[in-house]
Amino acid sequence: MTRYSLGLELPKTRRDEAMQGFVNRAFQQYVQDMHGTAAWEEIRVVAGAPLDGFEAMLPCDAQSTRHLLDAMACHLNLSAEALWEDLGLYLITHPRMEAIRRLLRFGGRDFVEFIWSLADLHDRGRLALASLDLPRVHIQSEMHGDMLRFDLAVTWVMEGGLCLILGALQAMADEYGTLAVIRVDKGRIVVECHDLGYGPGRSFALIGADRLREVAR
Amino acid sequence: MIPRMDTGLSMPLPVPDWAVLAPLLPMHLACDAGGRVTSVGPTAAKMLAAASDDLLGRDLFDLVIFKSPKSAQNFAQLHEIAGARVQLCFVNAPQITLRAVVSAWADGAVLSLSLGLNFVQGIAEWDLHLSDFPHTDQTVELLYLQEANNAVTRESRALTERLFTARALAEREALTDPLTGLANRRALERALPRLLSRADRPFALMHIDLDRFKAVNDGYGHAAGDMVLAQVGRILRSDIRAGDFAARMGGDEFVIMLSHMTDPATLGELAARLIKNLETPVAVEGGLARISASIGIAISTDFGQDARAMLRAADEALYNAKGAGRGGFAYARVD
Repeated sequence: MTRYSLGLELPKTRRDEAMQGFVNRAFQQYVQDMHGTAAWEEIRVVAGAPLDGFEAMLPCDAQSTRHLLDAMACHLNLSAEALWEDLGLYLITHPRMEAIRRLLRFGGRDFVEFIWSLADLHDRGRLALASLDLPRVHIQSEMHGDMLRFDLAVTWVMEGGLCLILGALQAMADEYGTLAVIRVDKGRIVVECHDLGYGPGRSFALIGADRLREVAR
Repeated sequence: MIPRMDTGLSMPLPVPDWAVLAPLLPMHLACDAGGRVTSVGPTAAKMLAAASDDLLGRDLFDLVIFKSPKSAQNFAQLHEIAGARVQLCFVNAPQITLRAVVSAWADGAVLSLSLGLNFVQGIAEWDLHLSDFPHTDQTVELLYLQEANNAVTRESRALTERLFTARALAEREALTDPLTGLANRRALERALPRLLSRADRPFALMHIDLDRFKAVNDGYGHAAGDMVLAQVGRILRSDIRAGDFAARMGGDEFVIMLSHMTDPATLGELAARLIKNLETPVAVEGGLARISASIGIAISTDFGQDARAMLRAADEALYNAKGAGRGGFAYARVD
C-alpha cells in the first residue's frame, strides 16, 4: 500500500516525493478519462495504489510512480515514454484539465512566444504552489533559412520530463494553430516552426468564461 | 512641433518621435502645453474606444478625470500632481479607477497608466489580450497567479470534501451494526444520555433478548443464525416509528427506544406484538428457524438523567421476564 504522510509533515518531505502526488494523480485521471474506470481499477490494484486513488496535494511513497508506470505499461500495452507523452497531450487537451491549458496560454500570444515562456515554466509552477516542482526547460533557437528552429533540453526530478514536454508541445502547437515538426533528437526536443498561422487554433481570453460571469455580477 | 524636455541644462534636448513610446508604454497618453493630446498608446486607445489618430488633438481633460491626490483640469494643474500616486478614470468608464504616474515639463506631459488592483474588471471591460500588455507589465502574471490560486484552492477544497465524506462514512460505520443495519452499542451509549437530558421528550426503552437463538445457531449453523438476526433487524425497524431508535447490543441482544411513549399498558401491547412478530419462523437452509424473545421495559421519567441506572433496570426487568417463562415481557421496578 502507498503510505500517505500528513500534510503537516510537508516541509520535511523530499521534493520528488511531493511531486509524486501530482504525477500519480495526473496519471490516474489520464487512465480514468482516456481508458475508462475499469482499466484504472485493474491498474490501481496491480500498482498497489490507495483504494480511493491518489491525492495531488499529499506526497506519497517514492516508489509509487514507478509501480504505477509498470502497471499502466502492462495493462495498456504502452511504453513508459509513450505514457508520459500521452499524459502531456492529455493535460493540455482534456476538458477536465482546462485550468492547465489556460495557465499555459498565459505564456504567450503565439506558439513561438509560448516556447520562450517555457523557460519560466519551473518558476511559474513555484509561483502557483510552492511544492510544485515542474521541469526546467533550457531553450536555444536558430534560423534555418526562413524556418525557426528550437532546441529544448529538459531536466526534472522525475524521469519522464522530456516525453511529458514533448506531448504537451504537440498539443500546444495545435492549440495555437501552428504547423510545427516536433521530435526528439539526441536527448533533446527539436521544434521546427513552419507556419505560425496554419490553423485557427483554440480561443483564449485572459479572463475565463466562468470568471467573467462572476465579474459581471 | 517637436516637444522639448526641460532638463535644467541651458540647451533643451529634443524629444524623439512619440511613436517610440507605443511599444514601451501601450497605456500612455501625452499632451502639449495646451492640454491637447499628442500621443496615445494602442492599449489606451482601445480603452478609450477610439482609434489613436482620432484622439490626437482632443483635450486631455475631456477624456480623463483626475481623482487623486487632487483634481487636475488644465495643464498647469498637471504639474502639481507630477510624480505623485495619481488615480484617475476615463470618462467612458468612470467605474474603473486606474493608476497613473505623470511626468510634466514646460511644453508637455506624459501619463503612464496601469490597471492597478482593478485589473480583472479592466481586462473584462475593455476585452484586453496578452498583446495589449508589454512583456514588462506584471498585470498578466497577476492574472495568472489569481487563476492558479483558484485552481489550487479548488483542488484543495475537493480534497477536504473527499476526506470529510470518508470520515463521515467511517463514523457511520463505527456506529452501525453491519449485519442488521441497526445502530450498535456505541451509538446507543452516545444517544441515551442525550435523550435523557431532554425532560420534555420522555421515552421508553425496551431491552430485547432472543430466546432459543442458540438452538438455531447449533441446529442450522451460523449462516442461518445471521439470517435470523438480519430478520430481527428488519422487524424492529418496521415496528418502530421514524425518530425512534433501534440498536443491536451484540450477540442476540437488542435495545429499542420509543419517544413519547410512557403509558405502561400501551408499551405492554407493543411488546406483545413485537414478540409475536419475532416468533414468525424464518426459512433457512435445512428448515424453519423458530425463535422468540423476552423484553424488559423501562420508562425514562423514572430515571432522571441516569443512563446507567435505566439500562440496568431494563436489564433486570428482562431477567425477570425470562424467569417468568420465555416469550414474555416485564416492567422495570423503580426503587
